[in-house]
Amino acid sequence: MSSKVWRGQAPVLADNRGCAPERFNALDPSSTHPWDCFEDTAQVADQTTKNVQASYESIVIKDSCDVEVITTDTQAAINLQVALQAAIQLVISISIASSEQAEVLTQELTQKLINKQVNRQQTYIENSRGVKVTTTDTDLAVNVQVLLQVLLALVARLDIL
Amino acid sequence: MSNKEEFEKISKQSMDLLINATLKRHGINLDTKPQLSDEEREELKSLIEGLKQNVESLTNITKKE
Repeated sequence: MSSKVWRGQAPVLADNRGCAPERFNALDPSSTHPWDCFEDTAQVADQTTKNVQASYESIVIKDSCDVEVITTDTQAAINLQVALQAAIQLVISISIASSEQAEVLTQELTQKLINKQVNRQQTYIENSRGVKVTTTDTDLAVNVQVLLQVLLALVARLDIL
Repeated sequence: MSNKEEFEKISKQSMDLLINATLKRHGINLDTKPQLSDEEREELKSLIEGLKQNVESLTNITKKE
């Protein structure tokens, strides 16, 4: 974002990461959000291009009341993804006699289709009342949907049930 | 037909095409239907149904937003 008014000017260094102000003030154009680190931009871009699937989420609620946070249980979503991959493998291994062919097919249909991204979500709620926040790990939600479609299409095509 | 239905139809169609193309490319012959007992068939059916429900409940969180 090029607007300096929106991003704020880099403040006097206040913490050991060297980029956050003492206290963020949304109405002060010169105030930068604690997590808005200019120095980290290149690193973030570099990391997300790597072929790794990872999901990080942090939620901070400070000096607030009546705050409701609905979030995706990342671990449950990953478990579901693994279960779907296992089910695809199972369906293929039931239908295809050659284990080599079954392995290649499983890899092709599961690993190549899923969205490999690093997902970072940071939610910071401070000095707020009556706030409702819903966060979703879109990558994981998309992955499980795609894998379910593969599984259903395979079951139909292989005429198993 | 609503957009959602249309999208689901296209999505299913492309998935079927992908599966067919992948099977064809690897020369996989599907003439013999797998021999499953009724019990195994039921087990597999309930596994798929369970996975389907789990995916739906996960994606419902997104829709609520």
